[in-house]
Amino acid sequence: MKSNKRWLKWICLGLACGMALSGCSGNGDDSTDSQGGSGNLPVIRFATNYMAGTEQFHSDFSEMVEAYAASVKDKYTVEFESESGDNLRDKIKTDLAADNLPDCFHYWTAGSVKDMVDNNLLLDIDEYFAVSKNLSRDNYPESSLGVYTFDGKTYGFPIEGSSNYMLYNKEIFDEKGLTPPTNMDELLEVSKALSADGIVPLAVGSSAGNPAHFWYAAVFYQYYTQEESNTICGEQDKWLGEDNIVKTGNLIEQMRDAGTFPADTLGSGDFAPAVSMYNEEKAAMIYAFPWVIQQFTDEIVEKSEFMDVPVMPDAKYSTSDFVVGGTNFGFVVNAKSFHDESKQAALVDFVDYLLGDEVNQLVAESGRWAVKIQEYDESKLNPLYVRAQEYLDGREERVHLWSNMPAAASQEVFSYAMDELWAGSATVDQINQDIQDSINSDLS
Amino acid sequence: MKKRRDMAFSAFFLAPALIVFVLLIIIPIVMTLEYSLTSWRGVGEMNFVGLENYIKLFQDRNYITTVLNSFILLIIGLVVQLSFGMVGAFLVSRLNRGYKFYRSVYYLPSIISAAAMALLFSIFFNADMGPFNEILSALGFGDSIAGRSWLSDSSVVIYFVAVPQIWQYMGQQFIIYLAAVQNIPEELFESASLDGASSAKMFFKITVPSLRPITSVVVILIITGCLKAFDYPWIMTTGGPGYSSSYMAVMMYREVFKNGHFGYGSAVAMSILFISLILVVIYNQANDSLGSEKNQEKRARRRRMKI
Amino acid sequence: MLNKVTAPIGYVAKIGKFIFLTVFAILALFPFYWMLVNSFRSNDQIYSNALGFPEQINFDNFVRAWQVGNIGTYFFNTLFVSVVAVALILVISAMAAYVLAKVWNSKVLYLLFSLGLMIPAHTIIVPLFSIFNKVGLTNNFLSIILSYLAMELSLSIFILKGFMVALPKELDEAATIDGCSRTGAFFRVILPISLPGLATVGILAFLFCWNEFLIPLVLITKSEMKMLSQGIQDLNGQYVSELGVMFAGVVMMALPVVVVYLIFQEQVIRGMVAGAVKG
Repeated sequence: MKSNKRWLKWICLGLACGMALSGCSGNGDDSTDSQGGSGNLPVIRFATNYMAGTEQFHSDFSEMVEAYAASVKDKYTVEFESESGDNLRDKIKTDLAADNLPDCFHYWTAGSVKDMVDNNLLLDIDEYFAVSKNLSRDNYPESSLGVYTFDGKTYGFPIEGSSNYMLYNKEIFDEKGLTPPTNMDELLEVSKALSADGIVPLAVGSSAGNPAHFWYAAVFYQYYTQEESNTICGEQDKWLGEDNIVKTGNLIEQMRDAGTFPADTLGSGDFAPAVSMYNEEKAAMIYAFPWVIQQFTDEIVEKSEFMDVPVMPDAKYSTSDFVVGGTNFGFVVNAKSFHDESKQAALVDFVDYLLGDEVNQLVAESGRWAVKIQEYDESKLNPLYVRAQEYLDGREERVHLWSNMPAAASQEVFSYAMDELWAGSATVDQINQDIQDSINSDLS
Repeated sequence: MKKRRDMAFSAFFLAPALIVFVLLIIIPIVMTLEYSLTSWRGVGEMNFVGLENYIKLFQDRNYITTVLNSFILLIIGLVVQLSFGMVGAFLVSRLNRGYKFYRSVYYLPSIISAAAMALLFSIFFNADMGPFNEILSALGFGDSIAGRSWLSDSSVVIYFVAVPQIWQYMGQQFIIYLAAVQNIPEELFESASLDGASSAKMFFKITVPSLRPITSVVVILIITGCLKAFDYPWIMTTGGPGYSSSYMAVMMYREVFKNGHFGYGSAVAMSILFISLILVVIYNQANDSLGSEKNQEKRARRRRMKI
Repeated sequence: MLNKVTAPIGYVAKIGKFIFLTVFAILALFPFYWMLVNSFRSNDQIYSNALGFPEQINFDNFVRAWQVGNIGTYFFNTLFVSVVAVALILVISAMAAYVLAKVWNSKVLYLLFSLGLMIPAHTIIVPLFSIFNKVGLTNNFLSIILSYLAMELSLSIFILKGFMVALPKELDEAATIDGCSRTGAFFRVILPISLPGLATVGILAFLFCWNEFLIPLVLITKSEMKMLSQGIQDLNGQYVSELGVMFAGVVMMALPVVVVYLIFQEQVIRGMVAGAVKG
């Protein structure tokens, strides 16, 4: 009996200490609402997904930016809010709903920021350029700025482009006595031959739309111009009834039936499995992106060559003339924070650094397609990245369809429609209807 | 006098739980209910739309799919976890050796975070590079089975997402039953074996009835747990293709965090609550009415066994 | 008195029991074993040969997981939060469960507490975040502890009530006759007897706090204060998943829980023995 009472006393004591401690440690660090760490220094809340993760880029970026924050700590304090990958999106959405947006953060473009723009939460970057010390509108190509422009005003700084490129494994093709396909018929033939041998012809699956929707766009834009695409995605009732959209869907179905894609389109969907499959030489071709450049092994890069997307039947536009891409990641500033006089100077100083040449060079070195116009130290860039840039030089950019969707909801419906198309769990007509419904709903 | 003291005691002892619960669970639920009556998109105005979201919900074929999927999970869960829990607890508790071993081993899967386990299974079932199909063909199944892409096949994917989850948490019901089974007086079993009863008879006539109170707890845990399940489909397939492997909670997450439809998604969330509530109430009613009959039978049987 | 011959039937039953137990043991262990094996393999090995063995035994994955996933810091954060939360959960839910089991069996309150079982965390996460944000408790361990407390209360009260209801009425009647107040009876008699139930609830609560991912994701964004589950998530990159590293991280994350479980197991036995002695 006595021992139980003693037990209890220890528990109570422990609890009391625990609660006291947790209160202390929290309050000590928690300066979100207070004026600042020491005295009245402004606090800048910066959210990003460039700091968390396993890439060398993540540790390099963290080191660089944290060092800068330390160097200015007598002028202002930076609070880092770091999440990995898509978790950043969830965090910002929660912050948004709770009226707690950070002062500045990395984020996606176009439809992803529409809600914030509609509610005047993001800063018009021309206001920023007026007080910036080293940045101006000339640093950014107009086409990139387009993805952050609504009603003539631009609300974000573009950082990453998503230019797609296609690689094939020379060795595999030589071994099998095949040549990389240049049109649909050849693609189907090559697919049948390769899959009979247990090799995945094209490492493009579909999990939450990735990376399938890029491939879909690569077929789509052989029939449509950018302007037509903008109309189809930007106005009600334009998607359904487009014969070439139905054709695109049917072509994908044919590819699927011929075994072009991995057998488990959902399980082997998303970027990582595709890259690993290609690295392991289990796939002969891959449709790839800037952000995976660093993940290719040196051996596979040696064996890889660039190729153009095969030409589809009755295509109007040549695949060697355009590149599917579009700026899909960038940086935005909280309008309220900027207009807060006590914070503006600190905010401008920090953002000037974040978007400056030094940090952006790092972005480029990671293989990401840095769109900012500046001097890049070529010697430090990934060789595959340099080769890709050369190969795609001069091509017109086509914004991939996901980005072109009017808002988050239609982006999601479109992504999941890709899953169904790839997995064969819905007909082309059904998914086109779903996409049309969500476009209409977002535009109403 | 005792009543007054009892009331003071009850108030004092219930207070901490109630305060925390009301502040951090009830109030958020009420707020979610509020959102579900609007067309809020997470930012900007909250426009009151009454029951419109709920009406739309019942006409939404995707929602119906998720409800069916949740019920599939529930049925598999009830059947598998209840039987393994009771039988396992009965067998393990009567072991002379290996008691500790089995007790640890069965619980081990639930120790790993669901997210990690789900990731493991998504690789396991992957038709391009996972071991499952390899094992199938080693066992002699032809290509029509050993070559199928389970996760991409919308007609069966739900089973491949449900079964791993039920498997991972079998151990949880098992240890609850194990602790409860220890409280059954040993004399019952002794007198039963003296009467020549087999293990099976002892299980069905002694163990199962004695476990009735804790079974009501376990059943409600399984019901509520299955109806709010989220992790497995999210990690393995993000609920796809389409909605064929989504549960109600997955649909809620997609609506709120992906589509930005806070209002509609909150209606889905409230529907999870309502359906769980209804099932729990129905179960409790059924349990109570069976209870009085069963107690009489048990007493009668015990009397017979003592003869 | 019936005198059945049970020998042959008994033998078959024994084999059946053995098969049952072993099959389930293998099923329970296999994925865990597979995860452990894979934590020693590199990403490429895992993708190319699903069921293979590691080509070399080294701790590269573990070292990398430790560094990138910042496991050292997150480990202590998670441990602190979990221990405090579990202690609170046990005491507060035992108190409430006792009232519901023995003093005032209010169906209304019971249903009220059950509500907590029925809602997924994702439902209340936005309102919860709002509330904590308004009182300035984001990036504060207290908010995490309170959230865990609130979310586990339902389950704990539920299970403990189930255990306590089965306790004989004579127990607290005897204690109160002896001059104990109800409070005294609770702490001196009921709690010790309920040790199996408390151990069960304690393990479940600890597991929940240890593995919970969504709540810290939203409430904690400062790197130094993050939880283990967030660190593991960071290992699962967007564009490449280093599965071997992730599994190594998961193994490291699971080890302390295994230890806790083994410790609590002994408590359960001691409680059992005490119960047997008391009769």
